[in-house]
Amino acid sequence: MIEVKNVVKIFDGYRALDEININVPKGAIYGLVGPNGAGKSTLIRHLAGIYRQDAGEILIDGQPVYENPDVKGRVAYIPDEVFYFVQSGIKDMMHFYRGIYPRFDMDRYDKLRTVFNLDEKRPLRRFSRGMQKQAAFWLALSMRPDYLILDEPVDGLDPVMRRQIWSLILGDVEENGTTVLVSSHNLRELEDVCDHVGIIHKGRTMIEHALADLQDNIVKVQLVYQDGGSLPEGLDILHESKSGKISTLIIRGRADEVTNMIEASQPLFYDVVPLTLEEIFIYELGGAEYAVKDIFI
Amino acid sequence: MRSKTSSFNGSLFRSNLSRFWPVWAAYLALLLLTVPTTFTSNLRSLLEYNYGGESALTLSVSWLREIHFITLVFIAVFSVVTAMAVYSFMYSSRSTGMVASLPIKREGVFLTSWLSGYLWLAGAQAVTAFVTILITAVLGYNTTAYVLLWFAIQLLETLFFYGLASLCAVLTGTLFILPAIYVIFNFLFPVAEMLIRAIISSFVYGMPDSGVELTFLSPFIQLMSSVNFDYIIKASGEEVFYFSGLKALICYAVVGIVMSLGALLIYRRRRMEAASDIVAVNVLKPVFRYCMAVGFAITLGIAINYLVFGGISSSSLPFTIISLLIAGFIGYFAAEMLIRKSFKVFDKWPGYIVFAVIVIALMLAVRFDAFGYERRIPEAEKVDSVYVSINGQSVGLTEPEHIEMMRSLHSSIVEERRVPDENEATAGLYINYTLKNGREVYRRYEMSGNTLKQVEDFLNQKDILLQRNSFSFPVTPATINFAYADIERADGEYVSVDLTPRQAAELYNDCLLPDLKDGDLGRAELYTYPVDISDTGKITGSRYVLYISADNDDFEGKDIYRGEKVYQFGPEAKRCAAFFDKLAETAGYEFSSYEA
Repeated sequence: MIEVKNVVKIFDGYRALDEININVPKGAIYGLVGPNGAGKSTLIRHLAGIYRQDAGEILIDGQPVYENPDVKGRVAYIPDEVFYFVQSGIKDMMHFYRGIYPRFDMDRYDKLRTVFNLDEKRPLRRFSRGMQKQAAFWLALSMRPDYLILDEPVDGLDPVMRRQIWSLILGDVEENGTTVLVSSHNLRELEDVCDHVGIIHKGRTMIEHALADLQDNIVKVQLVYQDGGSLPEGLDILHESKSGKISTLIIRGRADEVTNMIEASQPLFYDVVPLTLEEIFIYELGGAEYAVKDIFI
Repeated sequence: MRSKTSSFNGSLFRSNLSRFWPVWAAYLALLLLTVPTTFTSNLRSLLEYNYGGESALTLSVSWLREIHFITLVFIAVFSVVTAMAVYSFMYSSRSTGMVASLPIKREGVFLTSWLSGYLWLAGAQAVTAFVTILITAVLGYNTTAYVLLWFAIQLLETLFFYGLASLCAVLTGTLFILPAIYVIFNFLFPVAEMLIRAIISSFVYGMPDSGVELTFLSPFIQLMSSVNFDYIIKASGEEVFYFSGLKALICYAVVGIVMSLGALLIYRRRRMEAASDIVAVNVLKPVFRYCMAVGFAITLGIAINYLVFGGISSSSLPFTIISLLIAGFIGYFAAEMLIRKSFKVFDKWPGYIVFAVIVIALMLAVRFDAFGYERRIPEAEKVDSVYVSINGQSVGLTEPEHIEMMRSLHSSIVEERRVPDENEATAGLYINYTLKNGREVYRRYEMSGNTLKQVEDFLNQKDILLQRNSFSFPVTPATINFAYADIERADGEYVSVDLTPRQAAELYNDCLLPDLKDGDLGRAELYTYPVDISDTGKITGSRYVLYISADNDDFEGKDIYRGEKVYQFGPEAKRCAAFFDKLAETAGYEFSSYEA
């Protein structure tokens, strides 16, 4: 389990993390989302043991991460921009990591060779960004980590390789109980793989839930009233828009409860549908003064 | 499961060795091209000139003298290049992130990187030492002891320079700044002292405008000058090897280890987000600002003063202060721009005001001698010796009455505080007191007129004259290395006469010393310049110039072991002149024509 408790990080007076809290259950695939500059990468670097927090605690299985080789030996971290030694090929990096990560699995490394099909001797700096990412996954999955921390992991990968890699990760989660924390702006993709989501904004946690709970707790309603009809009292409306006679509402609340309330107000027509993660992200942040603005230039 | 990692990580070590081998290969190649070949080329030169009987010792001493300097340069350069290689991961956020995320403690990363650099440098030195021993053995010389001494010196010097480079590496987050601050740290203090002297000596009576007392803070210069090798051949024929500088080497090595440990402590606390920052340690940012302000003030400030105000003189204090403040302003805010990577830095003006107030206060304090520098003459009981030098004449005084006389003369110079007119004949008097606590008090005065005459009289007192001109150890045929005289013939030509050790000892003991006691030679003439035949080959002002070089046979490592004296004299030195007349008539010398 990953626990981030009231963590503060200040860069030259700017609070990049402002008493942030997150909890990633063991075996979960946790999507960390937030607008640009929210502090996702900063938080991830703390989880990888790179940065030292100014206040608060970062624990993995109850142990602090920073300067703790025992914990870090069970964590594989893939940053947005992967670094390799200048002259090194995949094989060189494999030798390097094999001497450092105690659970590096050569059998797995050999099996993954067929998946990635990359030239192991070619210097990695000559690889495309996507190929470098593939190499990073090859090496990271060979470490047999308990925790996989991924920052924009599939950026630059082609759709086939994206699916391939997610398939490998999901397999690890299922077979070995690997815990995955992934930061991405591709919410459509996260929605497919994540079972938990945390939305952070301005260095703080806005929402943290199991994805199912989150989707159960917010609904989109399209409805049409007869003249003189009106919405029932007591709905927690996050967003409302109207096109002709059709109103579209984003309402916080369980689908069955909202349905009952709407039905009681006798609209001519209504439809209650769950929100996508992207919609949840947009409407939740809209409440935090981070909304799409209607600007005409 | 426990990690494989500890304070040392073999995988990182091997990775460093395999990735940065060209650095160490270049170092090894340079050593191999220099160290053994210097020995062989020395030997070949001797054989070409048909010198024979050179021992392993004499060849080794000559070899050590030559290679110590060049290998010191190699160490200084390759220490910082190695540091740039093994610590290169600290200077970009990507590489820093990769290394910091590894399951290795920070001390493990640092110590492994440090060791991989040091062991490679030491390894190259060891290989070179081994090859040199082999080559010299093949040539028939057993140089093992001397080569191992060189190797030990290399290890100690590497500890220092690599330690300094390691410290510089953790202070900055920018790769190209590392060699810059390394060079600055190597030469900072003597250069700063020299520049500060150049500025304030115009306002402080007696302060030398040259000379460096902080040489020990410039390790390269200090090691170059303090590590020496020599030998003497005693009367018994025994060859004795002398090596000085061990204390300095050990001190610097210890400092190097301390700096490496300091670097480790800083690295443990270093913010990984500081990669690419000019100053990686927050608490050092104000230090950097003020150092830049001072650095600019004493360099650019001097330039501004010369370009705008025509140079520093005792009457130009306001202009000097203005120059320092302008240059300091540039340095202070340039530093802030580098720290912030922004031109919006002028909100830091209060710090500059503090700097300006300190500069003005210090310059006024210097001008009005607030620190008592000008009036300070060491108390007699605290003085161990005084070295006096003027116009090429110098003497070391240790007798209490001589020291007291010098103090008295010094007092009158300070009281008179006479600044020579532009047209007066002047001479620079240097007085260097060595105190019993080991400290030194060093003054320089531009002398003229009556005070200059007083100094001349002092130097020409019989006992001081004798002390100035005689060897401090017995001169015998056995101790003389060589002696020769340049003699002006009646037709104005010069001839050079080589003296045998026996002749030279006789000349020195039976003629020269008595003539010195009579005051017939060796007088200091401060209004004339000393003899110099180096440029023109002509000797002026005297008929005879005598050179004697002798070794101290009882040398035990504390006293000087070799002395060289040059005497110029005319026919008034009766015993010496008679010696040469007799030599010419009776010994059947063939005077060769002297060519410069």
